Amino acid sequence: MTTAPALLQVRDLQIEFTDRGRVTNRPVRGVQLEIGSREVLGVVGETGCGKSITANAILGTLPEQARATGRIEFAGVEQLSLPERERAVNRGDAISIVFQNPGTAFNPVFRLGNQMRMVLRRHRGLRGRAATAIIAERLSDVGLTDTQRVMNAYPHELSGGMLQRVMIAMALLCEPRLLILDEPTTALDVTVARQILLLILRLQHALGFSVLLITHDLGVVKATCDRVAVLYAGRVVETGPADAVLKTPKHPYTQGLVGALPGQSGGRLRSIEGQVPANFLGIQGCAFADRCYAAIDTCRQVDPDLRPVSTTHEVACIRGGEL
Amino acid sequence: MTKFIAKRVFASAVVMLTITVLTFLMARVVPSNPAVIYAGPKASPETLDRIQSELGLDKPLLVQFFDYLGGLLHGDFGDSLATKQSVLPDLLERLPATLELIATAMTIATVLGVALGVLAARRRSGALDGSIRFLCIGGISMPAFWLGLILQVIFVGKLGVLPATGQFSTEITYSNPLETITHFALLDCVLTGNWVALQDGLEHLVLPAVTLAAYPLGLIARMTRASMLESLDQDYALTARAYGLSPRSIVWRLTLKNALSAPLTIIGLSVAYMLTGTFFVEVVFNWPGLGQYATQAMLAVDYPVIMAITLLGAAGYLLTNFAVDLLQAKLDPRTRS
Ligand SMILES: Nc1ncnc2c1ncn2[C@@H]1O[C@H](COP(=O)(O)OP(=O)(O)OP(=O)(O)O)[C@@H](O)[C@H]1O
Ligand SMILES: [Mg+2]
Repeated sequence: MTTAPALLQVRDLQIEFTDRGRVTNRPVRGVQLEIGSREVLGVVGETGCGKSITANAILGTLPEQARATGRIEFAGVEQLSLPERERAVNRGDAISIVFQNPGTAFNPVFRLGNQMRMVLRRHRGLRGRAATAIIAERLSDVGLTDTQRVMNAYPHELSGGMLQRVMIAMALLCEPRLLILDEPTTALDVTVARQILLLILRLQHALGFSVLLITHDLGVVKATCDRVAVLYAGRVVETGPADAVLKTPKHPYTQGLVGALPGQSGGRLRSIEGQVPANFLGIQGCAFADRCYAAIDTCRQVDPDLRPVSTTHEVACIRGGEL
Repeated sequence: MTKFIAKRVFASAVVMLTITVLTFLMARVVPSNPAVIYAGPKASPETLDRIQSELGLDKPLLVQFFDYLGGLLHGDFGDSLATKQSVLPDLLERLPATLELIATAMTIATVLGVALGVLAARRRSGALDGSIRFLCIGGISMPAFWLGLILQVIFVGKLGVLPATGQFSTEITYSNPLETITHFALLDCVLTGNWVALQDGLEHLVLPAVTLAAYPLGLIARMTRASMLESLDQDYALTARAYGLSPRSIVWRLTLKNALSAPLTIIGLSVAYMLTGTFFVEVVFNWPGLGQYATQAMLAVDYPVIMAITLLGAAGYLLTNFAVDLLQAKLDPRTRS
């Protein structure tokens, strides 16, 4: 679909947690993702599927005990083999992130303006008036008019919605090429969440960065994403254009999720029984087999890779073509 | 902020008054007659009567209290029963040496304690963390007088690099005599440019200050480590990392400010420890501060002196904790409202 080489390409990403040399968990087991420039990719899946940790791997902020293998290519440069110093240079600059909970993501004892200043000083070497000017501009970009007051405020003095706007402004300070949004509206109430999403879309159109949007909400995917990747137990089970995946989901898991989408009662309506396994270490075959309405014996032995069902739509299910 | 300060000043005044009442009552409850102490064991009943009325002991308790309070407001702590001298000048003469010792010890404990705590947190579970923990437990568990003696054995006896006791060497009095301006000996050395005496004074200060600092240093380091680890675990620390800030600035510039609140409280409490701890240390190191004066007063049940020192200690404690609270409010905007 994307003709130009992708901005971000994640190939066979595996993440392991080790404790004194022993592997204790493997939350990501071969994730494939691709984001073209100016593209909005949604990543969906139930809680614990490995969405945030995948984002952390892309950013290079995994916890110490975690080790990532595979390939993460950003702007043509393989990231996992880079030394930490060089990865840190990209963070907050070419790749930025907006977290789920703006109430805790900011440091409570520093003024918001100063927290943004630190980012500008780190990546652009700017301070003083030059920095203030850029910060004020970004703040008004995200719809905050009283920029002086916001800069002088401490996090606890602003509402969640305002804080999330500040977070977005901070993420955009250095004009990133990729913006990761990890459930950016989950902590906000519905109307504010809508406003924030619209804001992100507007900014994406205006500034032309790519977006990796992590969410639980298929309605959000439908409204905002070009493509979507469905994650289950640390693997991408289905990916393709958002319309196609939501309209004609091929993987039983996606079908279950779509069935759970309110207002989308067209045809089958299946709620998914059971839950994501707590630990993915002992998984044999397809991780979803135990919850799947269509599972056959082979499903418990073979863990299928993504296979195309159309030119742009891929699914990791041995019965994917027929369902 | 002004309201916050006003409230704290008022509260401190109430506490101070309460302490005055309590110390006054305690001095009266102690089963020994001040007049006897004043007059000595061989005084005749007539002399005792005369002294009782001289000291105002025959007046009603309430009147005595207000006499005492009135004196206090004029800076009059009464006369020592043992030396028959006014307490205040004696106190003022010895106070600066003690304050210098406590201030130095507090600075060592705070700076080193916070630094070690942060380093231990950064190298969690490493060899450095282990050694710092060992050091802290040593500092916390070793009695000050014992630590003082050990330091004397090592640095004076074995290595011979530091003087054992006193505030200055005797030779200094002849070669580079001290001029008194502020009564704070080291400060006076600086003000008069007496560098020889300053170096000598600092050498004398090291061991007692380290001895006095050991316990709060251990506490502060432990507390800083724990609170740093907690703070590094918070979302905002991840945000800082996700925005490319270096580990060094995340630790020293960002999370330390969040983490300082807990050790700061310890610093306030440590002052209470130091006010009593310094008496032992001063005796061990023959330091010309309040320690020996206070010890003698306690043994002699010289209650005006004891009361004066108690009130002074309480005032010092309240003052430092007031400063700590102000600093807390400065560090964390959420505590200001
Ligand atoms: N520090 C850690 N140590 C061990 N395992 C971890 C750690 N952090 C995450 N995991 C594991 O990684 C898996 C995926 O976690 P992740 O946070 O990526 O889920 P998620 O898809 O973002 O879920 P949510 O929707 O709740 O945010 C979890 O099952 C969890 O057990
Ligand atoms: Mg998550």
